[in-house]
Amino acid sequence: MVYLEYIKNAFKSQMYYRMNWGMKIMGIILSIFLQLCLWNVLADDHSDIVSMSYMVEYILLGCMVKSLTASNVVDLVNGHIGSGQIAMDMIKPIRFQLYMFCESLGNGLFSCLFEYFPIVVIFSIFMKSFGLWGRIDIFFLASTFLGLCLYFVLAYCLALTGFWWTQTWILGRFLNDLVGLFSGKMVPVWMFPEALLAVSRCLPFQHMYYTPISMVLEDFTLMQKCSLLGVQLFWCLFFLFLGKVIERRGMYRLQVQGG
Amino acid sequence: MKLYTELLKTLFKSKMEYRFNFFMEIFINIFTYVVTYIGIWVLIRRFGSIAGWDFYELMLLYNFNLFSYGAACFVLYIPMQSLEEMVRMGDFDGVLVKPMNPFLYLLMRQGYFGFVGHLILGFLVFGISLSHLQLEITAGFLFDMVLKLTGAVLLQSAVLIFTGALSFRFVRALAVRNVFIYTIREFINYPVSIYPKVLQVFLTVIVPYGFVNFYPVEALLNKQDGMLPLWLADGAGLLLGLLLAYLGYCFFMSSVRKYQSTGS
Amino acid sequence: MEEKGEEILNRTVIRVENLGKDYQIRKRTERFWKDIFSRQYEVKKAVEDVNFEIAEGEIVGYIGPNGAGKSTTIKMLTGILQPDRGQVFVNGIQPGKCRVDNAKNIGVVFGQRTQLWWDIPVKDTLHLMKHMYHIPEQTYQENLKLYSDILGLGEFMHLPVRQLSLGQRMRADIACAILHNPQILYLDEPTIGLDIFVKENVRGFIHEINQKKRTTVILTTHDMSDIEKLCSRVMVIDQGRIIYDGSLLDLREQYGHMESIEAKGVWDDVFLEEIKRLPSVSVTQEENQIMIQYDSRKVDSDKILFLLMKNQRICDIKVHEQSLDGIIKQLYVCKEVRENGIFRVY
Repeated sequence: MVYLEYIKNAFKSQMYYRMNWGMKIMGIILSIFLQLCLWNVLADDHSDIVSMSYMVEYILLGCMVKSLTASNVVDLVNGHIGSGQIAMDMIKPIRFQLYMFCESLGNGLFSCLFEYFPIVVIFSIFMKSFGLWGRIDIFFLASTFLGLCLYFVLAYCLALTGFWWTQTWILGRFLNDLVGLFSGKMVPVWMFPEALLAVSRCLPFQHMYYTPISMVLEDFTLMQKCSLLGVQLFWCLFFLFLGKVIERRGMYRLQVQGG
Repeated sequence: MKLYTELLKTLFKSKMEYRFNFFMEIFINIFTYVVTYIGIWVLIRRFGSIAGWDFYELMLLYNFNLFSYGAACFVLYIPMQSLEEMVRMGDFDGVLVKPMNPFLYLLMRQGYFGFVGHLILGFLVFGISLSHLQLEITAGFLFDMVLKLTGAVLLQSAVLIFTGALSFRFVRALAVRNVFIYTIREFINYPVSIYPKVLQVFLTVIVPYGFVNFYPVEALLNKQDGMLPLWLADGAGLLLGLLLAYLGYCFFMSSVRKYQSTGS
Repeated sequence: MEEKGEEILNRTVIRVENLGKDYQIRKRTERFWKDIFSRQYEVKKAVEDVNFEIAEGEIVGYIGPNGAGKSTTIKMLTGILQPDRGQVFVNGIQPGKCRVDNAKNIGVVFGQRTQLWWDIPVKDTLHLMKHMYHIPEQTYQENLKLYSDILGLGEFMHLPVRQLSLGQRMRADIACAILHNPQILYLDEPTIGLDIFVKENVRGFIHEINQKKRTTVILTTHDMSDIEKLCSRVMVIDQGRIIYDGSLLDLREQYGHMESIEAKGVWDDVFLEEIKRLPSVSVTQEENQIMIQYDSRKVDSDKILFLLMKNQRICDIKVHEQSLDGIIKQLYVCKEVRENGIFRVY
């Protein structure tokens, strides 16, 4: 199957830079360490608001989820559009979006399995968070997958603006900034003050990160879990559709303008 | 020097041709950090303070880092960043046939205006945070702050130069650079005192990022929080900055000489 | 006339003695772990025992196969690399030791890469060069006008480099390199990828500059017609050693003896046998066309032509002297040369 090959290729190309890999690992370790230190101080002073053990699980789970969206989709897709390589891609008998998705999924899986996962495991041993692993269920996995799809389709829409202007990396960063705040990466969503919380509920961002984590950490009923998955699915389809619309107009422009 | 200002003028002119892109770059730089400040604000709203530092103190702390980073990068970012590719593609030879110090010539290739965003926001935030803190803003205070900022800028520059020079010795130095410029620097976005002793020592002695913002701001706010006595925290930043920036430059030039003796 | 010429040509501008340089090539082992922890190096002699002198005003072609040590030599001449053995003197200065002083007097054009600022208009780059080389205003204006005229820079002066075509970029690079009236101009593959019009324009320009300003030119190229049109002297380097250093004419005389004759017509085997019997002749036939290759030292072309003319059913004859490419190819593989050492012919 062709798409499987693309995933494998993404794996292989990452392997070649061993030094980079080592440095990346160190970067991840430091990053997790920073978060742990910060929350340690906060949880210590204010144990009524949040407990350290909760935050540890939050951070570790969050890492896993985050790693799947580690590949920068906007730059990836735009790389193909900007260079005109998309013309070559059109010749191949595959669907462009799916091809991009596989490549990004491949990168993400590699990152998750070989970079983040081992480190998260080691940390969970250090921080004595064994219980975490037992509570990972099908809902978490499904939710994570949907979250990652959601990030992809949204980023894809933004990346498609590459048909019209060249500096789409700005949009990529814009997206990542918003995701950084509203998805719960910096601060768990429930800690937001009222006004911000209301805004965040209307946005799709929290479903990329916080929702999967909450599947494990919060006590939801079956109904609640399913409805959350449904919301995620809704957002995915919404942006998928939007993406297709933009794609069609972009292709038209490509043919008219010749890139 | 005159050459540099000429270059900046010309670059600015050509940037203006792409006005929209230019302003977008500045905008996104401002936006990213505004979002970060909002993140800190959310934390403070919920928790009141972080390790005894309130919102405006944290703002000042973060801003010292941001502003000095922006200033250092304005001059150095693109030259150091592009060095890796230049060496790889053989373009660096073109630098060596010019009758000029190669370091200076590289600085002249490009000054990146996007970082103006950092500086604009930096100024704004300084204004906001200082006005909310109960401090006596005298001329002496401001002068003190300028000195500390200079030290900070020099320290940031030193990091950029050291990591840039690595491109001469290692082919793919990008990941190493990223760790130093982004990952480790992230630690000083929060008060260094929240970290375990080992890390504090690391950030003070081994990679002295602590002197970029934590120690100077401590001294400015008269807040004894870290492991160093205040009198040391006060002046060491500037001195260290001068020393390390100079050492960075020496390392850079020696790396160029090594390139000249071994090729690539 | 002869004495005058010699007087002018006598001043040596570049002197190279026993030049040598080694590279350390990292050996890549198959073992994953070995590679990370221990590095094994292999020493490759890129340049070995090179000696030559170049006089003012000469246009010298410096050629050799890829990896022969061409660019390494040039890099040592321009001060980019330090020699491991031997010495280089350019106008009395050692470029390795006084890089900046040497740089003030030289101009370099790299064919594959540009030295212009990417985002700003060409005229602004030239203006910056003026400041960098401290070119006096008058010289600057004169040169600017002169080069604009010959190279036709006017039409794209105001464009940023990234919008230029290869031909335009090359012309701008050349103008940039000699704006400050350098004594020596190094051209590294200057005509690569250019169309025929621009090539001729560039060659004409180099020739004129050489005549007007007595600029010494060192040209490395793979394009033999560049050499033929511009250079009076050729140096050939292979595997780090100079295997030929002399005039183009002598090169041809020494090595250009494999000639060929192409003929079209109707042939019969008896006739061809007679031709084949001549010493050093080889014949290939394709339908009505035959190609006769021979060594002009061993057999006179007249003899062959005479025989050919005996065939009444001949329609066309073409005589080719050996192409420079062919000569060079011969040099590269010529064992005799290798064994006899370096040739120097004047």
